[in-house]
Amino acid sequence: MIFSMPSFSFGEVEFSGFASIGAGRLQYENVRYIDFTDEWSFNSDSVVGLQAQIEFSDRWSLIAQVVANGYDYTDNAPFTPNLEWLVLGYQLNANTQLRFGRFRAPQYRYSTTLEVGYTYQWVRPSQNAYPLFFSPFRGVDGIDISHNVSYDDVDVGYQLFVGQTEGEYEGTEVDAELTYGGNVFATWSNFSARISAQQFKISVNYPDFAPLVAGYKAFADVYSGTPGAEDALLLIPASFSTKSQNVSYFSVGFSYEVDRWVFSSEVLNLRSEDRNFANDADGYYISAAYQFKDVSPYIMIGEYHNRFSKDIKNKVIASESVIAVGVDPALDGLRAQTLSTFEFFNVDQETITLGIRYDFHPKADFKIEVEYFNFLNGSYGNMYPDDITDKGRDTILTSFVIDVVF
Amino acid sequence: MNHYIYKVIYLTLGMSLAVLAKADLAVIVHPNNPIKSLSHKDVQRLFLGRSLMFPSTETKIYAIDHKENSQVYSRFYTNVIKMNSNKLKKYRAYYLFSGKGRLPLILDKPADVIDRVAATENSISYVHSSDISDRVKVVFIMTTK
Repeated sequence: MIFSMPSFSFGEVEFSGFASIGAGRLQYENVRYIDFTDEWSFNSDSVVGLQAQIEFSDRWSLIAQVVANGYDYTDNAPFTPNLEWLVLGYQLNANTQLRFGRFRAPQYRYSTTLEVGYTYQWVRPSQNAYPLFFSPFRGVDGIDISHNVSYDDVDVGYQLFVGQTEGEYEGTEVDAELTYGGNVFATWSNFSARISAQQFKISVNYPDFAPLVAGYKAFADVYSGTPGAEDALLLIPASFSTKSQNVSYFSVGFSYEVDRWVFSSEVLNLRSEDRNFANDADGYYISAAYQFKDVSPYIMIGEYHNRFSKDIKNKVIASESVIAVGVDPALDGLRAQTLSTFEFFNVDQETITLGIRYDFHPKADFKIEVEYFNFLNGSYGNMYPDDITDKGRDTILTSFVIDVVF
Repeated sequence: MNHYIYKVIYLTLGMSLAVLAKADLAVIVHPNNPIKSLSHKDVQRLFLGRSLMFPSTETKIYAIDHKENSQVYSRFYTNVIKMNSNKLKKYRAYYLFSGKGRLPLILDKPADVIDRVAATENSISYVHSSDISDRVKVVFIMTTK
């Protein structure tokens, strides 16, 4: 018999996309969170993305995605397009795929659709479990293998990847020269669970520390005649950046649906070598949503704690045993400024979010939410006050967004 | 006598309603497809994109859907795939933009679906059993409410 029937014509490019238009306002002035201030602004949650995908054959496929964020944590102009995905896929068999190129590291439940608000319940994923400073590490340029398998009623997906990535966050240049990790995702009936681990070798440089660095170099010259002073003073700024730092990332998550309820949670655990510019972070969120017909109110609680390495602080204190406090008020001022600068990275917050998602169209939703931030231990959470020595107060972020997919 | 007629009419009407309320859903493929039958789990995995190829083959599937507001679509996804429409649309958007693969092609009418499956060797779709044609092969059947 001659198979004269056409198969699906491989080689056709399929286009799709997504967009969100959001606005929000913080209750208090003199502080910035993402790109929110105390005046209504649109950039933080607004985004547009375009995707093209093509299947060349039963085995080969290519996907490209360009995303333009209203705010991307860099100096880029709003809505600068970034190539977020460019991945060539090869299907080894029905259940196993190899990919090469740029793709998302599977750090969180919604890592792959961070900018596609339509795919999740809230205005934005909880920053307690999706820390903002991690945004440069969202992608990987590398290779991965994924495998799907069923055990009776349980569907399990495995993924392993290796690659590198670099980027910028609020003026900090980061470079993960090597990163690798894995992810397991299981779905059983109305329950799903995931576990993810990733290891990095990270270099961090923050050019805005240059005046502090220059200050220590100047004092090292001044005290070059004092035994041990030069070394003690130069050790401090040497820790303002880091190279090939080992960082490990671990997260777990679950979601459970019962009747009209959806409960979900994710927990984050990040650990760094305790030297130089490094931090340990812990966070979680727990969310509950109830589905009426097209309207879904939700509540989310969470906490986030970030501990900056004590390395710099210890080196400042060590220098005080060489040149005691009180000897040189200018040096004391520099050391005090150093301590307060890095103390800013010690962050503790609790948040409570109340919101509503309304699916007013099969391809669009509207969400509005109020997020209450309770800052602990004088920190300012992930917000940037005009004066970093300000003590954080509690504040409220009101935001809404319209998400569409097309 | 009248009572008897009313009773017959009533029973007939009741049976018709019962028949209307229950309909067989059939999963269909091209007649040349070597697959003889699919399990319920196979059907779920294929239409949710958890498996991209027909079981025990190296042929990528080409899934075809009916319109989202059609009765056959809502019956199929509610009763066979077991995913409600609210979850399904989020799942599909997540799937698409996570680069996991293409979404099913959507066709307007059951006749269009039959035509496309009859004309495309690697296709798979579903229809009410009343719409089955001998130009396609049934590989799974399920009675739904």
